[in-house]
Amino acid sequence: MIRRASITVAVILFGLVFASLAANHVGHQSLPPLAKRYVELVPQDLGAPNVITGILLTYRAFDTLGEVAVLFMVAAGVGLVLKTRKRRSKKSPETQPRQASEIVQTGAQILVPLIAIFAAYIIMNGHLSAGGGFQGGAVIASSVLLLLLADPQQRLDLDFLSSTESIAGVLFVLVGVAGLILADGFLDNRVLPLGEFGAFFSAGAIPLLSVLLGVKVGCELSVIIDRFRA
Amino acid sequence: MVSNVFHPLNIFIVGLGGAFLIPLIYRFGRSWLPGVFVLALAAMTLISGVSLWRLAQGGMPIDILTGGAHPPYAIDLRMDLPEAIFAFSINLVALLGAGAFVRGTYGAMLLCLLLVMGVQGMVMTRDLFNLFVFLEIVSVATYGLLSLQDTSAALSAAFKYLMATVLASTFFLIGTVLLYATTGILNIDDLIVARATISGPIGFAALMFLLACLLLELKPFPANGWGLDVYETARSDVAALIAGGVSAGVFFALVKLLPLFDDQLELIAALSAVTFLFSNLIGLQQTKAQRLLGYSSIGQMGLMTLAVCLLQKLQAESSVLYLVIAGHWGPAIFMALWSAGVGVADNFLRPFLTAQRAEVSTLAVFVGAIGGASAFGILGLVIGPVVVGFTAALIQFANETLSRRRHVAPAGRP
Amino acid sequence: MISTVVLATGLALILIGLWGMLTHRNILRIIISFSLIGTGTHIVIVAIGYVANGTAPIIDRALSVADAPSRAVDPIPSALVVTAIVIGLAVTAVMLAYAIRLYDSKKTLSIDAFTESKW
Repeated sequence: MIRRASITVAVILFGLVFASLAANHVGHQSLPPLAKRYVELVPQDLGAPNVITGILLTYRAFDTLGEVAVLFMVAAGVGLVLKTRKRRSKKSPETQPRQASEIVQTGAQILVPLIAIFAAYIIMNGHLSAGGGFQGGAVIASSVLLLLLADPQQRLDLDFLSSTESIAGVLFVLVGVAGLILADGFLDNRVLPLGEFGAFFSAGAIPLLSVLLGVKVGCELSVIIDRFRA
Repeated sequence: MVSNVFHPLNIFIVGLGGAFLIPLIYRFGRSWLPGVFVLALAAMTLISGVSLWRLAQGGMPIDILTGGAHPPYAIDLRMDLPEAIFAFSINLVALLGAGAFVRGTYGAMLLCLLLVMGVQGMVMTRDLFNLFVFLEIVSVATYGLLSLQDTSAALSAAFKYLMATVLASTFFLIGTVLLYATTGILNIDDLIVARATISGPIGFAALMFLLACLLLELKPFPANGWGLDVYETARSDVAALIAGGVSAGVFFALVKLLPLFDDQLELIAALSAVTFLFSNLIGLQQTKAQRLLGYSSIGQMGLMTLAVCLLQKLQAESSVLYLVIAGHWGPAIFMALWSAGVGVADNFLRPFLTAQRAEVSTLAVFVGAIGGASAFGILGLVIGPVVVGFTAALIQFANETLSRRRHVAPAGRP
Repeated sequence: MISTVVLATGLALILIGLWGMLTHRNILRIIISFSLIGTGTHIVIVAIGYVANGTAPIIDRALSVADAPSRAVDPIPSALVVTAIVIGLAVTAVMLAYAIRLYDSKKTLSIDAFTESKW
């Protein structure tokens, strides 16, 4: 009873706070000064048409590196948490995962290559238009998920995925260190030539970092998905 | 080039690079794994130690730039004397305790390495959103490490800790974003300079959300039941890492952001005083040593927060540093003692912690109270008995370990 | 105007998530509530970045370099939200893993079975 009352009071309090936030919110009419500088700086200094990717992979690349570390830790952490579950070694008919329906199996055959191409497009296009490493990596993982759903007996090569993910991570840090040696700072994208604005190979190291990110995130999410299987 | 090898940015390069390499080494050269892990920890300790030595000699604080640009466009970090002390002590504690992790799985080593790096990131960063990212690094590492203890009690405690800290992190994110909405600034130094503009309902709500996260993470009374369960049930080295490392990182974040909370200093001080008082009083009644130490840790955090607020009120900045150093050693001592005995004591400590009581006679408590009161005044009434209890627990540890070793050894000889 | 509507939606989602987290006893529903809180937070972040009549901060045929500072929306919240979404995913994955372990140990998903010592 007291519990219910205190919960209701807490929720109402938060509701009032949020209501005052929404009521006092005045939308921007123009960009705040810092944002304006970013919109001017990124095409000019970094050579990247997509301002957001420019911020994510150069100016605030330290955040991106931290985020990559979080994903990496989750892949290891979920493995640790689920490690001592008794793996179902006896494959009796009741515990056997159900065979996927024909729609899923046929659909997977058509969709998985399409999804993979789409994911590659999103990753490579990150610096030119909407997209980027994380987004593309998530799409790759969804294709892996579809593959697993279509064939529940499928075994992923976890060694390969784990090694790829580690190598991608190490290369990411090395590109950052190259920024220290060859350019102005850690994870500066000017280690590679900026190229022509809007071209496929432009914006310095940003496409390279996008690819590394996409590969890493795709592998990590696939590993996490696989660990949740019985 | 020599000055560049010990640049504090290398702490993160070593930490991240080492952690990314660990699965590769596990697959292709397993015997190298403990060596690489200890080497990475030792390298981080060395770098922070060198920085500390240089700063103590009167060197300039080191501004670490990233992304090839200056703040506020890019994220920057700073290594000044307080940061160096924190970083070095956390590294040292982790290095001393590495012995326990080395015999475990590669996942635990990876998480420990990233936890230590994450705490240093929390300490050194000067960007508010970067602080959030490093807070999450530290939190996710603890979630993974807490699962190493298999018992149902440990898992329940870990899940409740999970719920509380995820809520706290969400509050921090909401606070950061609302603060950006009012000021358009994410850099902590710029925020402190512009703190007069943080006004209106949105600004106030932003500050409240940030404060709520930091205080929640420091486990104030009466919301600390979940924290205690975690301290009690987790593996001792993991509990020490959380009590020493994570709490230290969060406390330092609070100290960093304290100039923003000028109007709320009394509230924070009152809350921490209540925490300190009640956690020590309840701690006296504990029968399990690890839970007692958990209460002691929380009470100490309360005391340090109280002192920091009062000092900030009086504008006495250098004393904050002293307090910060003085307060940090409790969990560090615990960890050092535990890891020093890890080889033989492991078999005896575990049954000890679950079966024995930390018995403290009433007379000792009374003497402790009187002595404490005469030394520290009114607060000493509580500090005294807690010190007595702490010492008694440690003496009992040592006694039991030594006596059991003596008893078992003769029987073991053929 | 529109950003206020989106902001209010996000805040409402956070509120629903908070209520769900506090009242539900099933662990999976608590995790879903946390996911709701996360989604609501992300919507709030994006809403804060909107500039009246603005468009995406991507330089292409629709938005020239010269026009960008006056017509683009704030890129910073969009960058922050990418990071926040990934971190939210990571935390949800860990919570689900814990839910599985908890179920394995006591064969129930009710959080009441897991409340242990108080003091």
